[in-house]
Amino acid sequence: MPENSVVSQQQVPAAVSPASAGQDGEPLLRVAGLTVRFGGVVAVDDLSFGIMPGTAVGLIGPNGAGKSTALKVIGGEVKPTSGAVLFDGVNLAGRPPHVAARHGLIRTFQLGGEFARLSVMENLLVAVPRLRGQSIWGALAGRRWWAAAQDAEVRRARDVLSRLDLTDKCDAYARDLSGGQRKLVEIGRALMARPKMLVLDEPMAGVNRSLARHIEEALKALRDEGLTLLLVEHELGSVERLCDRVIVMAEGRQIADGDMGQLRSREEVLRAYLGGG
Amino acid sequence: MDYYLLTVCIYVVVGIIACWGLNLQFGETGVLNFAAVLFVAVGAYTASLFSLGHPTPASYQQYFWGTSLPWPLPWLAAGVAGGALGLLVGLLVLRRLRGDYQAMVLLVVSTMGTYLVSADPGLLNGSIGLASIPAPFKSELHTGQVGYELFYLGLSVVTALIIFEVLRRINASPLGRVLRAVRENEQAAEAVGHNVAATKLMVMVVGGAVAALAGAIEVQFIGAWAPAGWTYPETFGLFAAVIVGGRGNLGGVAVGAFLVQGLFLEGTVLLPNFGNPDVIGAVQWMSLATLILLFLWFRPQGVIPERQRRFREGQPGPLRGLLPAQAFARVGRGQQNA
Repeated sequence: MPENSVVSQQQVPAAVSPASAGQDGEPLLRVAGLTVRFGGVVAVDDLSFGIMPGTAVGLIGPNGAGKSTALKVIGGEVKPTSGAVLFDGVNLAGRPPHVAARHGLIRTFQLGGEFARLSVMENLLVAVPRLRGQSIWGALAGRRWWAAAQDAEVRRARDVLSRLDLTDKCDAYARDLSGGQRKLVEIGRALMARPKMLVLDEPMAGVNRSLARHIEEALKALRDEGLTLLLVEHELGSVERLCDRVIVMAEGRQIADGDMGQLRSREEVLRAYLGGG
Repeated sequence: MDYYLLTVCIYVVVGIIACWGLNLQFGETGVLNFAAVLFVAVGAYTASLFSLGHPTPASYQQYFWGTSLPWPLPWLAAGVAGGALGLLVGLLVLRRLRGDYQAMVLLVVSTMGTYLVSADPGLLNGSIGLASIPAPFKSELHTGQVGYELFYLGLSVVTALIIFEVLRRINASPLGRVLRAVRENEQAAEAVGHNVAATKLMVMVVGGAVAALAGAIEVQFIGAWAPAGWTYPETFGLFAAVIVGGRGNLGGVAVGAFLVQGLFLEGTVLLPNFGNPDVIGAVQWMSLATLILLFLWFRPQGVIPERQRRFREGQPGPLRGLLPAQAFARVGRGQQNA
């Protein structure tokens, strides 16, 4: 693991200037002092970390640790009580999810993230940003206005499907696919959005072993090509194989940060997550 | 009989247009617009006000404002008013509430509209409604009643074809795909960069304008419009047509409007009277509710289901083109590892 791929909690200042983030040598994603309170419950407590471009980072922890809430804040679904989410130099904290997506931060869902009554190809094409014909005026201009641009994206989508071994499912409705295939469609859709970073919420959850391995291989290939990944996953073997670095959360707080080898020997991690060793 | 058939045909065309407006909102985008009939009513009142002329104190009917403009300006004004209502209601309802709560508020808005118009006679002549609304070109054409109805049917059909082409273009385009994605999963549509609230607002405006045009066509044909004709249950007649015909399919919705508005609702009018005079009306609504339930249970896709889109074969491009340049911060790591 390259030294400079790790940005520890200590390296991230409490308040980060948007202008300073996202440039060369800077983290692509920087979470600073993130706190989320639901009434009296603190779901995420002063979470801070950075993710360098081209690295894969795992976010693990026992149920209720605040991982999914942290992911929702990063993706824009939940507004933080305080703190910043700096992505490529822009503070996305409290901005709606489509703004995060338009900046290149694309997330997938733990359950039911597909468009059920759209074909697999349509699922992918929906994610193409700023495609001609997606505006009302572009649509009214007619097929001639957008057909060529769409054809190019259809070719790109076929490449994505071929890479995910979903070519034969191209025209099938997403609702007719297995759970694992739907997760693959989500990953393919995320790629069509031209992401700078993928945020994946338990991509292997509820998927049979063979498809889980397939999803893992697909993510590994993307990681090897240099796509930045943030992954919440309970399957620790996958996390170890996929991630350069792992952040451990418990009771809303970040309790450790390092590679899986280091984390296995940390007592607080064993106590909180690995069952006391 | 010719007269009756032509009248039913015009009603069916009006029903088809109104259902197309609702289909854009509900069938394609998943917005449960329980105020659909309010948009039809706004179109009808607007066309009336733009064709009746200035109100006079001596007139047997009262309305707050009026002018007399030649066709098609009253229809265009109706479309603009429907779009403006869609924008207003959308801004109030769509941004902060979830789908089912949006539906409840829209139903309340529709009911409020009926009560407001009924309660204030100075606004739009109260519960008695407006009458003597001029029909376009009727005084210029000396064709007799059946001839004029034939002309009006032609005018309605041409308008319907123009609306069909507009909606077909939306349906077939990448925008149509985005609308269906919003219908299927709002959260996921947001997560890939689509502003769901703005998208829904847009369909409220366009669908509202289409429904208002239906109201304008209807009111200039029948010449009168009153709150009793646009109470909230009428919305469910439109929903029934969309569900029966096939959500998301313009042809299917047209068939649904014909079946529900033309055959089903008109058919019950032909039933012999029995018992209390209100029984036929009650039977009509109960039958409509049963029809909706039967379709939702046994054929939710409707008579003509939404078309499954297929894409022709294309040549695969280079794999490196799959991701943007920024994504390759660690170019070649795979090869290095190997």
